[in-house]
Amino acid sequence: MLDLDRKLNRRTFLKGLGLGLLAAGLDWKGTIFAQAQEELPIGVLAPLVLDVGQSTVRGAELAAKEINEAGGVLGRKIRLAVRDDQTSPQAAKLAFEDLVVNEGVVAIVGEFLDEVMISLMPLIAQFKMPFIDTGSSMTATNEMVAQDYENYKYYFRAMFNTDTLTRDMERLARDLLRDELGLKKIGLLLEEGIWGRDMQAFLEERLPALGLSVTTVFFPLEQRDFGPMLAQLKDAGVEAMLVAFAYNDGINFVNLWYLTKCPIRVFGINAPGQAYEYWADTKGRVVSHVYADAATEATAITEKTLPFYQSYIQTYRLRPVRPLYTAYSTYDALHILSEAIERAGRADDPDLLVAELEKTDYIGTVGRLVFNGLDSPYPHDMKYGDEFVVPKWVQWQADVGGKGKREVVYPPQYRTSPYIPPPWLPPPG
Amino acid sequence: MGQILVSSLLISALYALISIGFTLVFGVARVFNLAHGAFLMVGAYAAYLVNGLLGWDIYSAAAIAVAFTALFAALVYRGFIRYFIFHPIVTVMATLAFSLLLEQLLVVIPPIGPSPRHLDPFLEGAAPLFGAQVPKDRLLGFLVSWLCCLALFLFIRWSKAGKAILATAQDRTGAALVGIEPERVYLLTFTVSGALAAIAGIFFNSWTSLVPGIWREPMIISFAIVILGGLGSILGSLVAAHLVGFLETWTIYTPALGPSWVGLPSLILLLVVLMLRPQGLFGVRRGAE
Repeated sequence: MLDLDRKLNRRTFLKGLGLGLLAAGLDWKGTIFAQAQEELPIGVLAPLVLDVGQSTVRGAELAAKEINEAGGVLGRKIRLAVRDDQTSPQAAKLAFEDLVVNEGVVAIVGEFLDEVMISLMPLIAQFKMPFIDTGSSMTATNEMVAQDYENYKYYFRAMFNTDTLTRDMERLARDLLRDELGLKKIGLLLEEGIWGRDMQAFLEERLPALGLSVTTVFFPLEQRDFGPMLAQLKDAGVEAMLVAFAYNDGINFVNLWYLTKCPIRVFGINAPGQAYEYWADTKGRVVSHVYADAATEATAITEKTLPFYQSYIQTYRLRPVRPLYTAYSTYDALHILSEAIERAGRADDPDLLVAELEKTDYIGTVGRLVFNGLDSPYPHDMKYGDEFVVPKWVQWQADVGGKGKREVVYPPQYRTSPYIPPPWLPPPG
Repeated sequence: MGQILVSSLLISALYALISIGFTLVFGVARVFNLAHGAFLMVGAYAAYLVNGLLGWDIYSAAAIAVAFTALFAALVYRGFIRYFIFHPIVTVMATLAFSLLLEQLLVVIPPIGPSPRHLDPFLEGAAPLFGAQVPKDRLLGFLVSWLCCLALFLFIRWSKAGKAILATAQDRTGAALVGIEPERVYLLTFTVSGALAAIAGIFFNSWTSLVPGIWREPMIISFAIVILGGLGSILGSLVAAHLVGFLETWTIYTPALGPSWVGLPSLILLLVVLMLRPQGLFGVRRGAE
């Protein structure tokens, strides 16, 4: 009995050991399996009520889908955690903390308004959170990187800053407005905010050097009646205006400009005005306006531009049905991020990730993306220039059927149409 | 200067229209009806529903919207404000809450929502006027506003119902003693102020976009106008509307100030007037009541 017992005991022991080992093995295998299956959370922060914000999210979604279908990052599938900044610094800060604390994101992409972006800088430093800005343009963020690199090095931007945007406007003013159209008096119609004030500072310095006169008028963010501003520009004899609309949707401006047959040609930046729906929003009154954009359906900047455009319009049926600039920049940003994580070999070391992001040399949908080094006044900003990325100046034109179409009028290498003035102004020359 | 005068006359006419309805209710019922801004919003959105969604022309849409808002104002009085009209503080808070609630409802109701909406213009194009290009739409708004003010004046002076309003405004008890039923006068006053607010709301927004918050700014401005002009005084509101309209326009056109400063000069004027003449420009001291 004792023997038997012992045998049984030994058997039981061996069985137990075997089962235990098997279980341990399963458990060990399970851990590996779980690790492979564990998702990689990445935050997306944008104003979801605006078309630009929706574009940001969609650019991220399309990139994540592609990356995941190709096997993910380090074998992990990207999981996007999307939060609304509600165009408010306060809401954005709460959303940022939520992404970091509750979602455990390894990096965040997105943003749009300068006022919101600047308010997130302390959080980026505090949480050492790699952040690729894909929508705002203030230079103050990079100046922080330049002045306090150790704290703010986690900030990158896959978009133009106000300096490069206005440098491109300067080029447009010289080549198209002055030399091609023969215009001399320029007006600035700018949103009252950090962005508009920065634009004023750069343009009032640069345009007079080209022999152009400048008249500047500001409007408050919520402005709905543009009568006084248009009258002031007209009284100053302005021939073309450079506008800046980001928060304000500009529809009231466009309506009034058209209905009063305002004799001033319109160029500039109108973020809501990039949406394909803007033609219908303004009942076609936006005709002849030229706005800076990342790309159009007709500009094959790189081999990635048109495939991205196609996949966007095939995936999304709801407004905005065509990508705004944030869709391109966020799509590229997510690819840049995933490649940097692959190179780093891990996702949980922000300093290592920053070092890899700094090595970025990536052909994206809008051109070749390389970040500035510390030798630049704007470190971690995307390099600007014909060999890297430049804005495309897209004109709203009327199609034969009365529908809106978007044609690139500048720079020459992307030009799909000459500039056509508003119907009530004489053609150039 | 021509541009400033023209612009300020155009905007002042609409301010007057909003303020007169507001001051009329105060004169008669002695309450600040902060739902007045909500009437403006309801008028504009009702016009949008008929014009933008049903696709009717803007003239029919405006007529329907004005009638609807007048009815709406009457219902709001009968079903809501009537119950606390003798408690001025409660009325202020309750009508403010009502406006905020209505704004939020518009945000969440699907065919409206938070995105900007647009009304068709009444008239396309612009006309030159004293060196300024003025959209014809605004000229029409100006004319309609003045016609409404005139009609209201004639109504109060010459019609029996109008005289009843005037009598109640002057002395509620006395009016009741001679057989004027205050309840009916209040109802009529609310109806008329609702219609005026709707007209202003439609013209205010026929050249700008409609968003659910459109009632706040005009409400604050007309509040200032009514206090400046003297509470309950229609003539005072008319004059104060033009003062405020001119100051605002002048601020916008003055390069050193610009549109961001728009609200400040009229508030300073209000402060100065209140210090020198607490009853407002055309107000009567109510110590004896």
